Amino acid sequence: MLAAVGIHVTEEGKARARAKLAAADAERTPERRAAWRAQLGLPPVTAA
Amino acid sequence: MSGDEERQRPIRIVLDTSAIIEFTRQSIHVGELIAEVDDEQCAIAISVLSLAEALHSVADRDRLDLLVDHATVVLSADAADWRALAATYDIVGRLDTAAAALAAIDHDCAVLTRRPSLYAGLAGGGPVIPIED
Repeated sequence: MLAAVGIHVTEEGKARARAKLAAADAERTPERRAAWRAQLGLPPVTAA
Repeated sequence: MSGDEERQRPIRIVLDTSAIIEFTRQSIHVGELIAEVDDEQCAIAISVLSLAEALHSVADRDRLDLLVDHATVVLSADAADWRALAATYDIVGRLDTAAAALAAIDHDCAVLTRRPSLYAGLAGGGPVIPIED
């Protein structure tokens, strides 16, 4: 699909993306997730 | 990959309106994230509100169709979440942005965006991955 759009991704590019996703994952701490949910009036997530 | 297969995967990232537009402009940054998410056997999601908003700004609608048909889960607004959507709207100032933020928080993932400042009112600047210049 990406090639059909004219976007050509390399392994190096995917490694960059992997690092961005990991950094975003690390920023979503339980405390921050709870803060967002409280801000939006969503119920807290309970542990499974 | 079929639409059914895509819908069964966990959502890894939400593209907001700006990211959808960047995709149709052949952004390598958006492409790399889509490719990596696919490698992780996960899914990209877009809100139907972001999609409708993006349509106004997209010159190449064929690329938009490709994104919708082959790479994403399209999320509609859940009636039960209308108060949360309204609360998010109060914070971010746009309904399409609110839908993207709410979807990301609900699915515990990040929003890919060209405009991270839109989310600045959320705690810590919100769950965003900025698209680089």
